[in-house]
Amino acid sequence: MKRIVTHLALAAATAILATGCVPVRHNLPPEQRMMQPGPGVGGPGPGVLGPQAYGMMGANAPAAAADTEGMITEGAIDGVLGEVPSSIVKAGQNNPEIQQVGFRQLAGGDCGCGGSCGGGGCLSGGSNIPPGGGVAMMPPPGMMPGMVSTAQVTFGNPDGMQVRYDQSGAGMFDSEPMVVPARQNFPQGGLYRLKLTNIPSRPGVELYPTVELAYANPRTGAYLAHNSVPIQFTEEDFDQVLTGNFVTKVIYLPDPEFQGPALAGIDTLVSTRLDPGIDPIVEADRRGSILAIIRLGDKDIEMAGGNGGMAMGGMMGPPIAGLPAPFAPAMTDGCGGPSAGKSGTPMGLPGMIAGVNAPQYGMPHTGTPIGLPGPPHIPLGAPAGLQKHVIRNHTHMNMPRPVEKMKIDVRQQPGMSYPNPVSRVRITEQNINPGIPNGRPHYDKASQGVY
Amino acid sequence: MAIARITPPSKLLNAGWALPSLAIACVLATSTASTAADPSQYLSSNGQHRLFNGAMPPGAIAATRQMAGPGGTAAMGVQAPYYQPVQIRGPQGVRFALPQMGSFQDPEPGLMAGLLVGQVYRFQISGIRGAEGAELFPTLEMVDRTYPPPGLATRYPIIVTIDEEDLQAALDGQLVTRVIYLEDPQTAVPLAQEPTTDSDTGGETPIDVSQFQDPLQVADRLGRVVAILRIGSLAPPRSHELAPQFFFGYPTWAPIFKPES
Repeated sequence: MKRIVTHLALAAATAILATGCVPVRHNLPPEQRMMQPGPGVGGPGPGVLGPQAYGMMGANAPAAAADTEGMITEGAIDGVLGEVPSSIVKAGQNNPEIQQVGFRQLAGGDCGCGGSCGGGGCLSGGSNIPPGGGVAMMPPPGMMPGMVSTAQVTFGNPDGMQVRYDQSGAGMFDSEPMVVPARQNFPQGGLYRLKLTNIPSRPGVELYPTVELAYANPRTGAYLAHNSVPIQFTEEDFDQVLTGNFVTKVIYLPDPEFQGPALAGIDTLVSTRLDPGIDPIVEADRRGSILAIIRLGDKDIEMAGGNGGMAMGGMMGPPIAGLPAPFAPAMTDGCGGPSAGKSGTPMGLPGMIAGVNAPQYGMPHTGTPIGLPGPPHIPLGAPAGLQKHVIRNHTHMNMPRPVEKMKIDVRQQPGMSYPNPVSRVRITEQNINPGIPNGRPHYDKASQGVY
Repeated sequence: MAIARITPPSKLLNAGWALPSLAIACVLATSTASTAADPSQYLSSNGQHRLFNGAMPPGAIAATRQMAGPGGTAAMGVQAPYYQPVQIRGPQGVRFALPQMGSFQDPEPGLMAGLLVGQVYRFQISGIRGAEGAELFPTLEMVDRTYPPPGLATRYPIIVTIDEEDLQAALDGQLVTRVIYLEDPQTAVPLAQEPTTDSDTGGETPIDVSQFQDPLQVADRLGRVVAILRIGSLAPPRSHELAPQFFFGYPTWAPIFKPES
């Protein structure tokens, strides 16, 4: 009897456990789905093309990707690094209506602004010409693809001054001092901190200007491929700085309309020589294409107790050993940079940033019938639960019916009176040497010149 | 030179110097204008913008030309590689050298070589009079080829002439663009051009255009562009990684040996 009771109690306990009269265990989605910030966010859903895979931006891109690891999932990084599957490319080309912006650039290769585009597509016949001249180098295996476009800078004035720059990316002015006049190649699209010492007639003065080099564009490409950017400091600049003023010098290549008898065909705008209220950068941008911006003040970067020299956030290593290392990307847009025609993307960041130039975090890639991004699937991590989505248009409209017949009466004053038409013509032709058209083909067509 | 008689002589265009009076007038006009420029100011006189201009990066024009069919027709197709004989001439004492495998060959005064059409070559100029030790590294962009009689290609090369004004302007930091074109036989002046006083650069008379004009556009109006020479004062990079970019990937060229005479 006791055994029967014991067995009954055990059976009851088993039944209670089996029927769920205990606290409920949550059934979470699969782990792979929990890794994604939301359905359709980390990767393409069925029938949806993936986001545009932007190329990696030079040698700084891995660090940037690592910094944003929490935001970008593995799938997204794969999408950035890897090639688009040929099936997707094929599907996108066959369905041009569902292509995302930039998909053609991805599939056909980004033409950039180097002038290697002709008509609607990229040119495959010519060599791969980066903006600013030169030839795109194929990186050795194991290295990130990316080309370093440099601009040569000439420090021309005052003679004897010593210029140092950051060579290792450590935030120190650790290069060998260059004695003016000197030349140095700087990667384009960077902001460089220089250290000026041994300034003639100003013993003991050390200045720390910054030089911002813009990317080459089709207007400045030929110039930067053949000439250096002259950077000069005058006595007036030093006087202004040492009295507490802030000097901004903008070196630009003037458009033909603004071309003057300036040195080397380029011109320089100095903030201290302009009228108050006129921004030299805006003015230079209006007159031509900016090559470099120099900002000079009297701040001692290396003073103890500061923020550790210029070793602030965003330090970058030099793209090639021996070249100066930028401490920030240039803010001037141009071609050939990481954005390569897509403006506004700073160097070292992925091309698509949620909320900036990509849908908000958690926003699916699917759209509404009127083209706007649809609502996010909340809670994140759950399967897509949206089943109904209604948009009503309450705009007052009064659309009149089109007219079916229209009549226009025209009368010109004065009227027309022409002479009687010719009814008889006598023509005598005499040709001694029959003409042979020997011009180059289409020489008489007034069309656009194609070389 | 016999070139002037058989093949239409190549002419040269210079864009490196603005006319002083025009340039000063332009500066006066711009300094007084404080408002934004009207967009119509940038429209060309013929009401259209040209797709290509001489200020584009070296290689861009040649690449577009490569996409056209033979003879400049609209038929698309990649042209067969062709080594166009080119002779580079300069003033007395100036020597030229082409790079090969990272180093320059022995410089010679009147360099002749077969250059691939569609490529950009950077060569070395040394021995400039009045600037001893100075070296310039201009680029020569091969846009198109000539069609000489069979077997006479090396006898009638494209002659690229560099005069002292070009070298001096480049040493001063200017960018000199020379567009070498083949005259349109319909509009060419039917006169044999006599060599100028400087026998080394003789034969051609360069047309100077102001900086307000596009030399490529002027040359295109007068004939068929075959090469573009740009002379600046850029020095080769010290970093070896940047050398292929500086030399445009070291395109191949064919040496042309002068006959023993």
